[in-house]
Amino acid sequence: MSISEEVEKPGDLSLLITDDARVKYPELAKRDSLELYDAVGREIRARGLFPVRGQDFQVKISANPQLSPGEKLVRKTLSVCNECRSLIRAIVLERDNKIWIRKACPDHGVMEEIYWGDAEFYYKKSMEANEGHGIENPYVDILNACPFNCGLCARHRSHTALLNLVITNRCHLGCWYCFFYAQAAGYVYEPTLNHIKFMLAAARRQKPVPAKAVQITGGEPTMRDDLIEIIRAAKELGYEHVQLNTTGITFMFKPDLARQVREAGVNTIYMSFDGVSPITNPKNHWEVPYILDVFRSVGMGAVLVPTVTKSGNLKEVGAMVRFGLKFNDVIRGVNFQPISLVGRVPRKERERLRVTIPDVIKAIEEQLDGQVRMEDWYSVPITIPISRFVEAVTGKPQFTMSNHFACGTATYVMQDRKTGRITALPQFIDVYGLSKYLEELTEYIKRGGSRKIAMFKLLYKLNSFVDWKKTPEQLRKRKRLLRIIYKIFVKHDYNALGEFHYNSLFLGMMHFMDEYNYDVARVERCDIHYVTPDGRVVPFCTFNVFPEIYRDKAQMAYSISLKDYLRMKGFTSMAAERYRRNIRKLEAGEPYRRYYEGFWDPSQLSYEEKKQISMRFGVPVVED
Amino acid sequence: MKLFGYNLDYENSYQKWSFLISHKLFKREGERYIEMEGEAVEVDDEVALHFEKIFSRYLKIAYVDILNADRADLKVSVYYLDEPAIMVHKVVWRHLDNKVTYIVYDVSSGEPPQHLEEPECRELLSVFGIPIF
Repeated sequence: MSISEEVEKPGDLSLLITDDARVKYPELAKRDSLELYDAVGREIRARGLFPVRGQDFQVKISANPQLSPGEKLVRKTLSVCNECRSLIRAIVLERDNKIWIRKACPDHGVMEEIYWGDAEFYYKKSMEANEGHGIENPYVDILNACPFNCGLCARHRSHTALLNLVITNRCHLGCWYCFFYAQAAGYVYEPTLNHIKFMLAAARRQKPVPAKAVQITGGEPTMRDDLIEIIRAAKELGYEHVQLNTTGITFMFKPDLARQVREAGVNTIYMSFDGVSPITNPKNHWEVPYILDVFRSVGMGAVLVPTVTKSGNLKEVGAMVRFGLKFNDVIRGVNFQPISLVGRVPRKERERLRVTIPDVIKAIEEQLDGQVRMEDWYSVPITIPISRFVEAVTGKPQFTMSNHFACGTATYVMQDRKTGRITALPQFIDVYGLSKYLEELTEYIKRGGSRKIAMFKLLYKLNSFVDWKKTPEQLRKRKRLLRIIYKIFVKHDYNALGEFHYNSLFLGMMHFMDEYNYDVARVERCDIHYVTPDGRVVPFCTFNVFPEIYRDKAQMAYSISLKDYLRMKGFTSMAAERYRRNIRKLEAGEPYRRYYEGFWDPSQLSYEEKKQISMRFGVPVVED
Repeated sequence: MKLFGYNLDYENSYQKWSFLISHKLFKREGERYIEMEGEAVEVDDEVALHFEKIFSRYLKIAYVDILNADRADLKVSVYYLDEPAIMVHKVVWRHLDNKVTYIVYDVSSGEPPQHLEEPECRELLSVFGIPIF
């Protein structure tokens, strides 16, 4: 029996509310409904969950950071002090062809952090900036300055493009850097299925565009016995795209669970993958081959998610792309995440680890011998002209990805089956040209032009945006590429994007902020949100950068203590739920050799060295 | 009661927005509403937050956008009064072919501001004997 079932019993609800909230809703356990969860959420929010100035945050915008000689002002903004985390003024500036953020706290002085590692690339990407819809029905009134007023409020500029739903903070790993999982946090957060339905519904009520994509995450979501019911609930509530964020390890031992997850409606697995060697990826290096084989057997696609650090795995980013291309039948994408340094990290350590989007892109270009160039990457809002055009044609607000241009970039790559050459999509599609043309057509429709004529014009001109000589063979055949584009624009069939994914590898680059490089102008446009148990929708970089105000505070109010959880389960410690790996057995299997051949030679490390790597990381090793 | 009124000349290439905001406050004296002059104040966090409470929902801008903007000439007036009053902000949307809208609220009612097109605002203000500007 999972914790979710146990606390559904009448009377147990009192365990979910901490003494700080001092709220008892015993009737909720007997006849829960979305309205009651909403009422509980509002009550708890009013009693201390919502940030209070002076108690949870300060505003100190009196000091103005100044430029030094040789520096160029890019723009002014707001940030937070590294020391006191108060809202303070900041400037984004250019120096030595890099972009920096400098901020000034009246109490703690001037602080500076690298923002983007290439100024020229920054300015190019700024031309792709585009504003989103925002939401017409904010969840909270404006009571405090941003980012201490989440969420979402009327200031926010993007609807939820991807909702993160935390379904548990239990995990079968004990990664040394994680403060979130139950053992480290000291409490177990695991909302009931009905509570989860309330949280999912909260994001679906956004107007004009309800949330359509959800990522189920944790902790480790496969720890929940009712994972399938949760996935089904998301689909029933109208989520068209469901992702599961997991280490993948459970599927190795429960391959049938992968089939069930797929059949319940998960479209893609998001799986951590920090490199092709155990040195760079001690988390799941040994298990990945077996996990991918399971996914292949059930027709499930996976997106690999490496967290990139300068001193760690930056040297392997090219290899990760090649790995993704080699196993493109099951790996749909690689979504690189330059490290977000949350928590107290001394400056020297930050300089050792810190890497920005342009740095990773340059490393990929170098490591792939120039086959994927810097100019092949586009910022996420480049897609907005597509949404606007479809809106103009259909007359209905469309899903848009309107986060700040500095937050993320992406491209698609293909490997020619005959020549092995890697080609990026912008090398054979004139992305800028198509984007500009769509903007012209949208303006034409807005000024009273015929929608049908606009569609004909697009169809007529589509071919001119494709360089067929450079198009990879698998898309050239029977003009498959044109058919996909036609389905997207004319039929508004976004499943066609899935067809595109099957023929290519998505490469993403998403840099979540930390307090050191925090830019309020970016967080106001964030479109990757978390839903809190009290029903708020909060941007990623607020939820995780201010856990004491958002993530931990909200989840603690709906948690039970670790002690109570252990008592309920009859455990003496959380070690009972921990995964232990058998390195020898995993390396001896055929999948291990098949996947890592050409990428990693296991004889480079002794068994003892591998064991130490695993244990230092936080995953115990067993011998039999 | 303390109120802020805003005049803002705004241009932001990120949003591709450009507008001009001007304001007038009309306080009630007897049966009439007459225009009141405010005192100029510097922008601080109280002023910024008040701006966002009134404008963010309709203009989709926040204080950080004013800092970010290519051009943002913000002048703020403060008013101290105990009488009923009507605050009217006029927005000329330059990037929308100079379309004009108004953000209007009764300062003592506690009701949220209304975002009105010109004819609706003219009609509303005529009830109070206030000329549109």
